[in-house]
Amino acid sequence: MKKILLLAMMLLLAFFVTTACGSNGEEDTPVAEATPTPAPVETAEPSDDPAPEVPDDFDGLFYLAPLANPITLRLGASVGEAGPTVRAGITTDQGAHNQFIYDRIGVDLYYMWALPSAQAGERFNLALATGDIPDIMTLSHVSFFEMAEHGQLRCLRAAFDRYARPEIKEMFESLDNTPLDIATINGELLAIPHVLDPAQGLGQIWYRGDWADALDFTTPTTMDELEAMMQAFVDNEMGGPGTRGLGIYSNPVSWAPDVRAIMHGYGAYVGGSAGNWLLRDGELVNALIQPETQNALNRLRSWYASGIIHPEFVTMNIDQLQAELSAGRVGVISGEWWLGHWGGVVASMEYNPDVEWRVTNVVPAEGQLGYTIRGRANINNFRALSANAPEGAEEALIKMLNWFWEIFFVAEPFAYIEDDFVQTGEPGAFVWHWWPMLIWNAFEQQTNFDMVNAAIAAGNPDSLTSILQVDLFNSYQMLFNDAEFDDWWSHERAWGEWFTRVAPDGGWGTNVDIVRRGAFVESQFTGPPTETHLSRGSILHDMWLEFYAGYIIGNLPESEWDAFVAMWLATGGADWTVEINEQFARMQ
Amino acid sequence: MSKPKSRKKKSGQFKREIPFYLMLLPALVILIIYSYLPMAGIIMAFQNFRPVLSFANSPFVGLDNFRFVISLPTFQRAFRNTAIIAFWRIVTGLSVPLLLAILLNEVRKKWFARMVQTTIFLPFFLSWAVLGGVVREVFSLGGPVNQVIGIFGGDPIMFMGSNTWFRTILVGTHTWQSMGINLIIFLAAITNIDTGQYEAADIDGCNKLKQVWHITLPGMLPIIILLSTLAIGQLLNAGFEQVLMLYSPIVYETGDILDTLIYRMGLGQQLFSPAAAIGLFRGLLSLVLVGIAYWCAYRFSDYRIF
Repeated sequence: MKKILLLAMMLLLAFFVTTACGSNGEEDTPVAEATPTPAPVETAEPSDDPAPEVPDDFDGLFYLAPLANPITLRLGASVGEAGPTVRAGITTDQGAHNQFIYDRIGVDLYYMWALPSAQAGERFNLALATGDIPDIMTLSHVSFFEMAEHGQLRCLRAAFDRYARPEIKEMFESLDNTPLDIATINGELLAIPHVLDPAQGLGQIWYRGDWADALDFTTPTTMDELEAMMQAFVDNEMGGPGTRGLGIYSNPVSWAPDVRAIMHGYGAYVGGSAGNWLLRDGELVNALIQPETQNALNRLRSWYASGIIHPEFVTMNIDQLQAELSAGRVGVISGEWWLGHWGGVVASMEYNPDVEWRVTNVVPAEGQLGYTIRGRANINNFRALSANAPEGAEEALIKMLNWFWEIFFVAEPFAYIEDDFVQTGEPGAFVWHWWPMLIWNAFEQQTNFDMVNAAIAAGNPDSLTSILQVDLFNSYQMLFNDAEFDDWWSHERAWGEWFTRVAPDGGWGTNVDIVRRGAFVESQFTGPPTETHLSRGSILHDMWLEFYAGYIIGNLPESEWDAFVAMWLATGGADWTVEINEQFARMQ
Repeated sequence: MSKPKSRKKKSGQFKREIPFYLMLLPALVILIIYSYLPMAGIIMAFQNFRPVLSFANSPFVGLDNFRFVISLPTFQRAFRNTAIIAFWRIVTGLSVPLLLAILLNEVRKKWFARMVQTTIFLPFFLSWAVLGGVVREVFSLGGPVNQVIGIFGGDPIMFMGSNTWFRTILVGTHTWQSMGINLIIFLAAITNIDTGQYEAADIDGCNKLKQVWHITLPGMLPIIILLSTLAIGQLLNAGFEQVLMLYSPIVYETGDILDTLIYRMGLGQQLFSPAAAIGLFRGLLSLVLVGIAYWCAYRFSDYRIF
């Protein structure tokens, strides 16, 4: 009897152990099971007409008409910091918008994972490797072209033509349809590119205006003036002992404060992990290895030697740079238009209310133009559909993009959604942040800039058409017209929003000026990654990253530059250049 | 007549042992699921693996990935760094706790010995995610180490960005973090030594140093040989977490190891096949080293697992 009892216990133990290991409640439970959802309330009959007439009484909701048959779509999501209106702990996979999508469109979203972005990328790679591919996906440049090449993506052309909101189509038309052309392979539209304004990546120099005033410096217009100002910041210890002129960290060419805009002043148009491809004498060359890049590195090298750059920047990560900025020990950062409301900059103003950041263009080195670089098409990523997705998924994908556009860029329906969905959902559960089907209006930033400035000039927000514009108008009111700040809209945060997005001499205002003057060159290559890029790109990336760092801190003599270029070319750079030029020739 | 009896005996024994086999079953299932089934992924090393094509459809390329990675200067450098760092981790990871154990054994105030032992053991419980920040701060230009150097008139050293110092930092901090466990093993070995030998040595006029040399060390020799030989299997383990937390591009020259290279190539840059080739190469070499280690452990210390 004892043996039988023992045997039964062992079997029970084995069962629990194996089931516990094999089960992950979060992954195995579709959203629909966790939250029972009612059936769609109305159904639109799909029309055979590829481009249906827009009804006369079109109110924006036509493009959200429910699918003929509800479907379940699998997807993965990144999670991250959401806004102040979102209840703590609510992430995009739990948000009430999922319920809304089901109620209104008939799409039951099943999140295969919801992880921080770095892990989500790895999880997506794992999903691909095991063949467990989500139905709808956000793809990087490389992944999109790879999946497209291997027939893994569904054509979206018919659904896009039939269901996409006119405003979305107009946006792409305003970009000469270049993003859609890039996503069209062998005549098939295999993704909807998530595009940004090409002006988003323009280089700028941000500096401490309060320090400049105290030392009688005006806005620098040349590299020498910038250097003199930064050196004075350091020599006068404007932020106390350890003050640095230029704030950078171990990845000197990245998305955050880095040296791109400084190097652009030398005509060295570096950018991105793969570098930028520039047209020289009819051939594309990579900016990473050009002579002007060495000139720019020489200048950075001299700044490192004179203490303008932090002596340990090569070992610092981005958090440590943020800490330096927050503590008010950095005088200049170079980067893009949004830096004014980036964490470290806002924190520096919270730390010391006297801090004042200003922004200016790329400053030219002697004999240079002071231009920056702009991509021909600024595609952030691609919204795509797996070839194995269920029937009707194309329509669902397009309608979800429509939905996002609706809530974000159309004022009237926003109110409708707020009423309808916050009440049926849970207060604080409306979270669009990090939603994989997010689509941005590429011209939204420019539109906001124009409309909010017009509203400020008129002293009346009635003409504003989106919640974001109203927020920006309010931030101006709080800063300059004594409107009351709340917990979220602290002075520093309101300043960051207003100065980067609205102020004519702020972040976006400076971009407007750069574009107006045509003070940029264009990166010429927008094609798919080549074979060498895929196989050698990471090795080349490590190579230049390591060399740049060693060169700037003076570990390597100037004569090593030629050896670096030769090594870069021999390790795959030469083959890569040939392949890029071949593709470029085919695309012309 | 005797043979059937023997079979019956064995059969009876097996029946009696069934509950134990069943107890083993869950562990076996887990081992198969998590340790053996993933080995199928080794196939990636022989394919031009593209996630979008899955294992089934990615083209087979034979040993091309191995040829490719071996031709890479970054691989050669990472292999060299791995061997050097792992070797010194083993040397210091055994010698320092050995020395400490001998010294602690001579401490007469037991409360003091226990306090020291506990203090030394504490860092063992902290992960490198935490210790990485501590080490970076301690060895930064404004950190305590450079402050001490400054007191003696020396110039500050950028330890974490110096190819001269980086390996030393890695080995030194690893030893500091992990020596507690070996210290306990060595102390346990010392307590097994017959105290009568020390009393006899005292009577014969043997001083402490000679007692250590002629009694303590020979008494600990089997465990020293055992730990040393088992450590051979760790010759390609240079401490992934620790290096990942402490290194930066400027010290790739001396600090980039096979594991970090695999991490960057595989998960960072999606070069799955070359990364798998490096991983398989490392795994096979480790298997050989573990085999040698066990043979040595059996040969010199009569220690057997199988």
